[in-house]
Amino acid sequence: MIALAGNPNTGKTTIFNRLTGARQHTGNWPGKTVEKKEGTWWHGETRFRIIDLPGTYSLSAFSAEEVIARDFIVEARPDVVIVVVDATNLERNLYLVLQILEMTPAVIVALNMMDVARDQGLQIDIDGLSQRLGVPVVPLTARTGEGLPQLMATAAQVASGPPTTRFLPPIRYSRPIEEAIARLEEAIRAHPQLAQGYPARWLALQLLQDDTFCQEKIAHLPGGVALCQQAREARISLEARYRTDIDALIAEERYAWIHRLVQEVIRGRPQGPTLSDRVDAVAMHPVGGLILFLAIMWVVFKLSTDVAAPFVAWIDLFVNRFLAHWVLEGLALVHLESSWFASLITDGILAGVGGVLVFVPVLMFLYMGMAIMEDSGYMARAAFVMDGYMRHLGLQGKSFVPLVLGFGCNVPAIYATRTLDSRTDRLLTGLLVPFMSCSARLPVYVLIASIFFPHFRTPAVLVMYLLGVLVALTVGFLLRKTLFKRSETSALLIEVPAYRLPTIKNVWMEMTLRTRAFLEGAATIIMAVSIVIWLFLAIPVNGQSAFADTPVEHSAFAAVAGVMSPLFKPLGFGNWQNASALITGFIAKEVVVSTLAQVYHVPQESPGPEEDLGFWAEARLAAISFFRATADTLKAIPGIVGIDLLDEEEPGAPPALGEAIRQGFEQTSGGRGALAGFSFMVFVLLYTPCMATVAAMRQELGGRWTLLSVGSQLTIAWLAAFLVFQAGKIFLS
Amino acid sequence: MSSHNISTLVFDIAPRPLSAVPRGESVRLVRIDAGRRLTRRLAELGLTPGVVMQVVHKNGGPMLIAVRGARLALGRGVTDKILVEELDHTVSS
Repeated sequence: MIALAGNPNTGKTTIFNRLTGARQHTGNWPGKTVEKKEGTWWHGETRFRIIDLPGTYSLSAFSAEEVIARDFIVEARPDVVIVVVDATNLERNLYLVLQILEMTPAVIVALNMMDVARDQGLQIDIDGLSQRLGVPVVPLTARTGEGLPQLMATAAQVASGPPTTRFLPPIRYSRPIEEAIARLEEAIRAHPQLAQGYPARWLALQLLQDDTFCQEKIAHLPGGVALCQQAREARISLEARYRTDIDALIAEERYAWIHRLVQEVIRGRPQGPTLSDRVDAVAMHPVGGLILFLAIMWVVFKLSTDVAAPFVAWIDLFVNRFLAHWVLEGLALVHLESSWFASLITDGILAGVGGVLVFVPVLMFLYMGMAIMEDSGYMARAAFVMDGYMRHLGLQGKSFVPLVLGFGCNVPAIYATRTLDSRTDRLLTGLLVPFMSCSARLPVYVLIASIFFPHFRTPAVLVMYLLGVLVALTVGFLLRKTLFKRSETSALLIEVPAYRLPTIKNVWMEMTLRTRAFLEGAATIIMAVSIVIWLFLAIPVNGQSAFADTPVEHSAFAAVAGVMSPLFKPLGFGNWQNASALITGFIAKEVVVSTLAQVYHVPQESPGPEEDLGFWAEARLAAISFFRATADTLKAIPGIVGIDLLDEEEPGAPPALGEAIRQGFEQTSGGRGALAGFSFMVFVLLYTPCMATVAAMRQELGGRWTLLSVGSQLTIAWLAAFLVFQAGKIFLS
Repeated sequence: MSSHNISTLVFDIAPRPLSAVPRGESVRLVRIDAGRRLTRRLAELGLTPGVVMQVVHKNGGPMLIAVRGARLALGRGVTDKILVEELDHTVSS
């Protein structure tokens, strides 16, 4: 087993991708929402597991990532830890190396980005570095793969070598600290369970600095309580002597040691501002940087909406027309085409499959945009530029990215929270994303607004978007004051890496890996809900219709909607029809309009008589339409900068449906149809976006927070719609 | 508890927060007036007493500084707590 450790932005992932290729999978670390990447690598006949540890600057338990990396190295004891180091940023990167060298001797330093270092005129004495650190140092350039074979040959050699039991890390601290360490080490060695569980010197150093670690990991072991007590006393006496925090002092001594080492092994420091600095003069400028950032966000947003749209439409067509059609044909061969089974397959399962697959192009394009932003090093600049603004909301700069993406689709926006640095920021941002009005909600606003406010359609829709932002601001503020009161506002504190060209391989791996993770994680939930809804629609409750052949109004679904409709009475739209639309809207907002059409008994626009072309002809059509979708995608790319090559028609409400809905709303609201319509729009804006978002939240935030989020969305939506309708009744009377 | 380095007592010019340093200027870190966690975190990123750093960019709130060959983006909440001194007022201890 080989573990890859390193600072963020050192090319750790590039090395991991190069070694494992497609033989990797992602998951979460047990009990954490931190991503775990694992892959396999073959060295001749030997198979190695490669674990990509989270990128961290140190291993001092500041974040879940650091705790994971630290615990993995000391507890899982990988055969080799490869520490990936940025050769152009040696001084800062060696800190982590030094920390890891205090944990295990089985370390290899991968000196990455040698090409950049050479370009900068840096000369690094590799042998000297290796000698002083006491471990192999392998220079390489991960982007091109240069040096990678040597690295892995060394890794295999270290892994198969005899395990070193006692080792001496290169650094010695000042005398009083060393004496305290020695005394603690002695106490540790007296208890075999402690001595076997951890490297003694590392444990002593750890206990000296970190009381939390002691309470969590050591106190319950035999001899633990006394040891913790001893460590605490040693710390107090050392801090009294140095009049400073012991952990800061240790960091200071480590850096002093590293500084001397770097002076020895590096020649030719780069002088003057680098190219990155010159680009940053614009990218981090208060005004220029903001404009650049908004422009980039616009592109990413367009990528995940307009550019992805043709593929989305194609998948929808492929699954629901082509696939469904041919499944039915197939079933006809065994005379099952009009059975409940056929209905289950097409309306339940295939509809679910389609509901999952339509997100694939959206996510692929989103992840492409995000991967380029991350890989090029731009993300850190975005965080810098937006930090001042987002801080007012109790969020950090990077939170702006998921929130903006939420206007396109909440699902990728939730996944985008993964780029945020702290758990608090991820949670807080993830909880606010659903209030960003996604594009699927737009048709509902357009329909309702064109029925009730035909002359004020655009302002009515705009009000919805603004209301969503306003609610998000309020909720964010309240969360900061309540649930997240005690969690530190993580002050902006990040490294800004030098710009570099993103590699196609990294971007592609990122796109496919993450999309696959979505399919694996969210597909089950979406399928399950789709089938449950089908079941409710299939079960007749009037005793006359047959299973799976029931008019909507006599189905169990309508019955459930009927039971729920009184809940919506005070909001002005309490009938079973509207309740139905809202229930299906929980699955996906895209179907609210079609459900309304269905339950208000308005025949939907028939797609025209379907010609039976035969399998191959249709297969060809499907293929052709795929290429057309690709072409449309290409045509949509200029749309990013505002040139529209696709002609879109504005969808209006079919007159019959409009009239039916108007009557329905007038009835339920006691003659205040327009007010009820507005209240309905507010409810649609604020309640749970769709089950795909819920599935994404469960993956990213965990089950408990997802439940809390769904619960509060329903409450907020209800209260807001209630307020709108009741207050409106008073003011408009 | 924060560190009280002897060197701060030697000079009559009081150290100023990093947030007050104009763009382009190089300064030396005197001490960090923050809680234990933040002090340690900054120390591990290379911000230890005596280190020299340069303000590369300033964007109202956040700052970009060059320290130990790396670029760090620091928010206002952090730069207020980092106390620095001019480079000239040094090396006598």
